[in-house]
Amino acid sequence: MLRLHENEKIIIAFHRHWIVVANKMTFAAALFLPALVALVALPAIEINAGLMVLVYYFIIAYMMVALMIAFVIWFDYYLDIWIVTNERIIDVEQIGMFKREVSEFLLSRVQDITIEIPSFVATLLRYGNIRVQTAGQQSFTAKDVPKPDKIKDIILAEARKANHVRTF
Amino acid sequence: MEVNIKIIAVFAHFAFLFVYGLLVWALLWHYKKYSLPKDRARWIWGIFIFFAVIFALTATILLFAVPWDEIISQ
Repeated sequence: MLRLHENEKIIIAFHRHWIVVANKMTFAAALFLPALVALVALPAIEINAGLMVLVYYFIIAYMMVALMIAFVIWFDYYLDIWIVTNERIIDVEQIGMFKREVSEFLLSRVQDITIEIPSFVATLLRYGNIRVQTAGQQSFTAKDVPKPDKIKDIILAEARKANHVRTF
Repeated sequence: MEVNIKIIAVFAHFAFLFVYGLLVWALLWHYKKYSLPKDRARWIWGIFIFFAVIFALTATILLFAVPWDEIISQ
């Protein structure tokens, strides 16, 4: 649960680009495919009606499991989030179903930001990687984020404001 | 024999549904705890739960429609 300090507000919160979850969902779609093919093909096979009901039952149970896997894929993608507030950057990484890692970096300690557009597809779809270097040689990398140039500008602007507030 | 298999099948089915429901509840709790307040992705939850309920009901109906005496006698 995100707890903001007094006078702290969220500037931007972003997830990975939708292409990341779309790629993983092709695996989930592949899981559904055999079940759908079986549902369509089963009436054409001459088997006992009672047995057919049982086979349909197992197909539906399999689809429930595939649905859960598809949902966990989305869940894992969606709960990976970066939050830029006017004081800090919060990097939340969801690992599997229930494990999470949360890191925080003070904006006043941000020194360098590098953005990388890794491929032609990334150029077309406007996503890339952002690496933020802070004082004390800590850094974090946000991979496959949408509009990295815009996010970089936001972080830099907020870092300048944070340093300005710190100076005075 | 037929009654035993039917009882085992019904028990296994509801045990599966219980574990499945528990996982769904745990994911939903985790999501509500860690998602941002103005989250625009709640509709995905709705779709997932809708299909999960449809599948669970269909599976339950199918299980009780299975003619166990016919299958056992084969």
